[in-house]
Amino acid sequence: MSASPQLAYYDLNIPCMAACPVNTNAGAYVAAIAEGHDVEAYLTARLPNPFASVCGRVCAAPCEDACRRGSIDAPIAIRALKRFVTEQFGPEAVTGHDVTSLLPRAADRAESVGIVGGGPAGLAAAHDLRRTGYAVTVYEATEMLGGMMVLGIPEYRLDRALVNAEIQAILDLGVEVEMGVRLGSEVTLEELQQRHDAVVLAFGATVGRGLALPGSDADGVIRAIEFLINMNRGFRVEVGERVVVVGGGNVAMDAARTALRAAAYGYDDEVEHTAPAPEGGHDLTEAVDVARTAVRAGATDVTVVSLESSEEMPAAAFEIEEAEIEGIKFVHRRGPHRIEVADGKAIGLTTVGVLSVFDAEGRFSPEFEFDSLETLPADTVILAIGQSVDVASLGDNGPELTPGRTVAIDEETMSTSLTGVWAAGDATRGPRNLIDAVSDGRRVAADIHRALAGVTPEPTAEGMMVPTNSFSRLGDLYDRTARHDPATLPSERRIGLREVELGFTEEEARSEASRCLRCFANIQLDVGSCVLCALCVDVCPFDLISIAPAASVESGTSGSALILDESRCIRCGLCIQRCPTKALSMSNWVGFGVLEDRAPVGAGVGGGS
Amino acid sequence: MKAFRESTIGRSLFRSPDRVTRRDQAAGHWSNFLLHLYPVKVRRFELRFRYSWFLGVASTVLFASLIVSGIYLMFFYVPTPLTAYGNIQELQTNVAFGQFIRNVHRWSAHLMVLTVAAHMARMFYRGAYKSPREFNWMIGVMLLGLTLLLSFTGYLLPWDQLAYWAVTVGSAMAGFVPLVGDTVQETLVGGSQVGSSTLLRFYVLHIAVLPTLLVGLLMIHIWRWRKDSMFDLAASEAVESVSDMEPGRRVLGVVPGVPATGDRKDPSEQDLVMTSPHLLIRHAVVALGVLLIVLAISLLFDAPLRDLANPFETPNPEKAPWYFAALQELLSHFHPMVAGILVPGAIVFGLVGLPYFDRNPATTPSMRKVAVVVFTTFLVVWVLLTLIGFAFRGANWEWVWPWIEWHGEL
Repeated sequence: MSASPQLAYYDLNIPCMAACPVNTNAGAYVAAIAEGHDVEAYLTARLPNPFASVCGRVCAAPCEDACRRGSIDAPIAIRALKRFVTEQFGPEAVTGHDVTSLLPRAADRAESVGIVGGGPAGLAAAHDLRRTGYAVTVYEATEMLGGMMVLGIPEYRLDRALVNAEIQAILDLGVEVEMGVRLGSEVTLEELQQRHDAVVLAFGATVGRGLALPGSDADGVIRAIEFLINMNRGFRVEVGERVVVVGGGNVAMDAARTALRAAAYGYDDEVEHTAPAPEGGHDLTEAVDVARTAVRAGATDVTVVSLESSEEMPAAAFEIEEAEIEGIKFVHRRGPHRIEVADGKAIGLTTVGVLSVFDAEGRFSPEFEFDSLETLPADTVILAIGQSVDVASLGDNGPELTPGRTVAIDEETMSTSLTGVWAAGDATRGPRNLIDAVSDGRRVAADIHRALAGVTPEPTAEGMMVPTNSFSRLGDLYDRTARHDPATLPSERRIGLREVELGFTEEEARSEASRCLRCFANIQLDVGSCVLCALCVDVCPFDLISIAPAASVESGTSGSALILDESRCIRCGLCIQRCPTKALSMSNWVGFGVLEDRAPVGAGVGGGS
Repeated sequence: MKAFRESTIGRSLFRSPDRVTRRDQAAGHWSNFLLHLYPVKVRRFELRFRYSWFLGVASTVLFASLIVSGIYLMFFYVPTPLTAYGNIQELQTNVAFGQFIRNVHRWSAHLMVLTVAAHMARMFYRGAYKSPREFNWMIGVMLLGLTLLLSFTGYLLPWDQLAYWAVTVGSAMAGFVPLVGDTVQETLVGGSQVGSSTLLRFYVLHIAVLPTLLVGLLMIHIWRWRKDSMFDLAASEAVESVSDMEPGRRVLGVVPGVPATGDRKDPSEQDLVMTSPHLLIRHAVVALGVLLIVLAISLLFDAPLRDLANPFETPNPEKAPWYFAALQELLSHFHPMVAGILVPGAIVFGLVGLPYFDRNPATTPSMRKVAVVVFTTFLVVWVLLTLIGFAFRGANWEWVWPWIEWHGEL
């Protein structure tokens, strides 16, 4: 279960898989869904990712950004398809089939590992280590597991029962948990090092960044991550009717949308609603989440102020779109200048114009135009400008830090400067996507196994080509089927914390999955049979096949090279059908991410003759 | 239509989806029997009129019009000297559209000789007989020969004075061939002079043997055109965009050997367009245009029908069909050995062997001046001789200005 071995060419040629931090073979499970093999699809999605169900709801889906279909019309709705199978077979499924028993599991070992932080990175590491046989203890500072999955991501995006079910599945492997144990107060790093053979620091980036603005210490100025965490933990956070969210990321969207939904958050009025010590965060995504959450908190007038234009905003496009549907306003290319204060309370935010956000090298380095001041009236100003890591908790003998005040790690092994201490997730590189945290956790687990047991995990990248004789998509209209996004709740029904995005119906899922180009299918040439007739060149609808002197590919060679431009190939297979000598054929690349005892998918696609 | 396509019968008929995306276009083209003689894609410049003047298409359309009108004529025609002339008269006066269909047949035949010859000339100037198309040029020469023979054999069938004496003169030319000439002439004519055997033999050649040969050769001709247009899609020289292999371009394999020829560009840079509809629509327009011309001429001019053939009354002048007029003109100046054998022999030999004599690979006219000058000279001389023989000769083959006395016969 190595998380990131060297990818072979044919692995990289599956862009969704190459883009996924845990290399989920999305093409394989999408194709399996198209053919109705849902169990196979679920296992393919689940194998590299213990949070497959959560990812089916909220993954940032780098696979979709990489999807080759995106350069033709729109990428496959991969994340929604994953949800379609996790709803059937994941821990949240009502059927009770535990198909995860098919996943590999090793015998128990003597060594123990302590993991600081029960977020996605820590739990992913716990999952892999436990399956490899180690005794695992997770130390969680708050009273709930899940980290940013439950503290940062609002409930209207991610159902808590689902997160808990997926976490429970990991705990059921035999993972010990100690709740309410905060590093630096209840336990120190030194104690953990003595208690365990290996320690994983996966406590996230939980401190909201502030801004040294005049007035930022006034009442009504809050940090987004703390706002989200407190809302999600059930503490009351006062927001006024007019909320201004500063930031352009997903956390800003979440905060804005949450502020609108405040009434639905079941306040526990007995609990003092002071913000407890900060703990947990997510940066680029922070701004959007904050904005969306603010709306749910009961505000009626929520405005997001971002330095970026609507195109430049780092928040996911769908989040911005949903926020707009919910009535959240956007002010682009304005930066915060000062917070207007009256009687110690914030009454507005004065902004300045933005000349540029990035410098010539593309680094974040905003330049402002100070003579165009504008003031937005606000009762509450939520700052969603990023989070930082609570490095103080590491104590005096902690590992080395990066200049950005995160835990420094060896990029290869994920180990810190201290022997026997690894680090993963946001604590190492600041806030990133959920799936990056899962990837970190899995890589740490693999390296710990390497260090403690001296075992290098089997390189599963050893793929193979499986010839398929029945690849024909002639009767299949996949290339003209438009992307179908899962339905969302109509805006008037977005009451409270109901999940906004709905899943696919079976028909929708099969149809959307059939759009997959199947980049794992590779055209093969038998050079002995090729007669260079160029019929394939002629029939290719996109002019992707060329015949050129071999010398232009590799000097000194003779003969002719048949070259395929795979970046635009839609695997229609016409060249194969046209080939008079059967020199061309189709093979499926079964690389890693597919269980070995599973038949390769993609054979016998579509009807046609 | 959509519902029909999705029915059981529709799905058995059409093997690919209706044409919406480029893939459907390629798949539909490839799985369509009627389109299988076309390549799926052509280079955009091949769509332009000046590339081919669409003369090959025009010739093919005229041939189709000849088959259709010819079948109609066959219903009313019996090839014996006793009945032939009467049948034609009957056809012209008593059969629905008889005169019109005969006109279509007659004028299509003359036009086809013109378009086939012009097609050949156009292909010469484009250098389209060069490698790898040498043999297809040869088939083209054979197709020209078959076209002439078809026209010539058809010329006799009305059995009027014009037909009888044109064929007498024309077949007499065959007699000049040394050694075998007499035998050839006798076999063709079926006796010492044009008579009932000649009529029957010409009829069978005209309606069965020659059209079958022509269709067969035409298929090969078009098939080879398609094959060669595919070779053009291969790159003949090292192409920059190939040597700078971009990510995503995978070498499927290195095959020994090289394609017969190739463009100097990579297919992705050749500006390829789908044959269907881009080329097809142009071919359809050309076909309709050619038919329009044929129908218009047929409405305006009737095919000639002179008096019943009379072996005892030789017309003066005695003229071969117009496409042999240049030869007849030559015969009036030179010894039959020269005009009847050496010159025509040299022409046939020159045309057939052209791709093998002309080893210069260049196709632009400025790079192949000798070939262009020689061919142009021949063409101009031949056209002039044809014009003179056709229109400027009167009784006793004397020079006559055509506007004073008209002796041309079509």
